[in-house]
Amino acid sequence: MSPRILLLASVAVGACLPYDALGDVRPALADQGPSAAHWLGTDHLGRDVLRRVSAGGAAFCGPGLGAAAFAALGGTLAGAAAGWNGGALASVVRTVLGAIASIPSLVLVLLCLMALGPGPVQLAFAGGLAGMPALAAALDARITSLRTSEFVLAARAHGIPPGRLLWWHLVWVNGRDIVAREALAVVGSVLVLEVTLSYLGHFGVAEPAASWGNMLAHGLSTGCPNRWSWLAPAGAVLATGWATTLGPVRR
Amino acid sequence: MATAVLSGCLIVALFWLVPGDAIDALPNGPEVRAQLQAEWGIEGGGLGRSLTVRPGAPVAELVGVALTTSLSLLLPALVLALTAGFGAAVAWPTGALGWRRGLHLVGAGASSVPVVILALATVLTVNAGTWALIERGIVDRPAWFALPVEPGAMRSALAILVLAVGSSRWSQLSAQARRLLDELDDASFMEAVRARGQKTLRTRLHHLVVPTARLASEQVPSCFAGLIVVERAFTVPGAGTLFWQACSGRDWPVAVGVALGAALLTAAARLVAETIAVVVDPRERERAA
Repeated sequence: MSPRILLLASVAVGACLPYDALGDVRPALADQGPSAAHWLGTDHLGRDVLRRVSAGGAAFCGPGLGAAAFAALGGTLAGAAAGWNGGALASVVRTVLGAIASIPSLVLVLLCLMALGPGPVQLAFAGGLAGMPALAAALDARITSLRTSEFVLAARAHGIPPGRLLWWHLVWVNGRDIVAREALAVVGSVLVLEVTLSYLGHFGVAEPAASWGNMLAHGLSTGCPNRWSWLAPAGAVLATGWATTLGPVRR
Repeated sequence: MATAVLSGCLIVALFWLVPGDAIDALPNGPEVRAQLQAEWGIEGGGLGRSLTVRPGAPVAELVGVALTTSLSLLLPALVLALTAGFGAAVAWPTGALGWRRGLHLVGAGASSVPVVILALATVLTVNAGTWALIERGIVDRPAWFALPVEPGAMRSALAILVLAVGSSRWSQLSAQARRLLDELDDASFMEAVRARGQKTLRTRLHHLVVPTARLASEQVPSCFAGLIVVERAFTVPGAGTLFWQACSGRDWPVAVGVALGAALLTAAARLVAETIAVVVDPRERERAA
C-alpha cells in the first residue's frame, strides 16, 4: 500500500469523525473498549482513540514531507556537484557528508533539537540533515558513472549547455528515481524518529497534542485497559513503515 | 581520520548554538563565572565535568565507563546481525524467483519494524508469557522476572537480540551478502580454482573478509542510534542512557562527550575495516600506496 493512500486515509478518517482529538476530554467515558460510537474505544481521558490516531498521522505529515524536501534539495545539490565536477570539490563534499553520516542519526537529531529547540520545523530540518548523505551518495555514484558515457559525450559534442546536460539529462531523466526512493526513505526514517522521540519524551510531541509515539508511550506506561489505545498507533506506525520500505523493495 | 575530525567539529559547532548558559542562569553568575569554570573544568581542556547528570564527575571517565557497557551490547549485536545476514544469504534459495522475492520482502518487513516497537513488544511479550506460565504453575518465578527491572543475562541477551534485529538493517545485510556471494561465484579466479580441482571454501572466505569488515563498520552508526532506545527500554546504564539523560538534563559537556565517542567509534570501525582491507587484499595495498 502506498504511503500516500495511508496518509490520505488518515486525514479523511479524522475529517469524518465527530470528535475533537484534543478537546473532547470526558473522564466518564475513560478506558472504554471498542463500540459503535468509538470504533477503537477511548483512552484514559475519554478521548476517541481512532480520532487521535488520525490526528497523529496528520501531525506527522508536516515534518516527514519537510524532511524529505530538505534532504532531496540538499542531497541533490551536493550529489550533483560531487558527481559532475569530481576532483577536489568532490573530495570535500564526500568528506563533509561522510562526517555527517558518521554521527548516528538519532544522536544528530537530538543534538539539533537541543541546539534549535523541539518543534516540527526543527525535526524536519534534523531529519533531512540525517537523510541527506545517503541521497547525495547515491546520486553522486549515478552521475559519476554516467558522466563519461557515450550519450553525455554526444550531448557535449552537440553543444548542449553543461547546466542543461547536468540538471535535465543526468539529474532529472536519469537520477530522479534515486531522489524519489531516498526521499521516501527519509519520510520513513522521520516517522521512526518522531515515534522514538515522543516515546522517550522531552523532544517529541507532548500531550495533549496527538502523535503515534506519545499515544504508544502513554498507553503502555499507564497500563490502559483498552489495549487499542496503544495497539492502534503501533499498527499505524508499522503499516506506514512497511509502506515506505516495502514499496521500493518490491519494485 | 578527516571524517572523525570533521564530525567532531560539527558536534562542537552544534553545541555552540545551544541557547542559554548554566552559569548565566545563576543570580550572581557573572561574579562567580571564573570560579565555577575552574571548578567544573569547563575551560580547563579535556571534556570538562558533568553539570547535571552526575555533577562534578569528569566527563571522560563517565563516557569511558558508559561506552564500555554499551560495547558489550553493540559488538555481540553486530556479530549476531552479520551471522544472520550471511546465514540467510547462504541459505537463500537460488532457484525460484518468487521464493527469493518473498523471503526478501519478509526480511525487509521484519527489519523495518522500529526498534522502539520491537523493544516494547519484546518486554511485554516475555513478561506476559512468563506471568501466564507462573500463574498456571508450569514454572517457578525466574530470577530475571519481571523485565526490565531485574538485571541479568536474560535482560542482556534480549537487548542484544532486539538491537541486532531492529537496528542492524540485517535484510539489507543479507541482500548485500547474497550479491557478494553471487559475484564471487561468477568470478574468473573461482572458475580457475574449480578447474584445478581445489576446494573453493578457503578462497571464498579469503575474499569475504574485506567486504564483511566493511559491512560491519557500516552498521555501527545505526546500531549506536538503536542503543539509545534499547538501553532505555531495558534500563541498561550505557552510553545511550547517558546521552539521553544528558540531553534531557541539558548537560552539554556529557552530551558532547558521548556524541564525540559515537563519532570516534564509527571512524575507528571504518579505520579497522580499511586496515583489514589493506592487509588482506594486495589490490587495496597497491591502491593505498
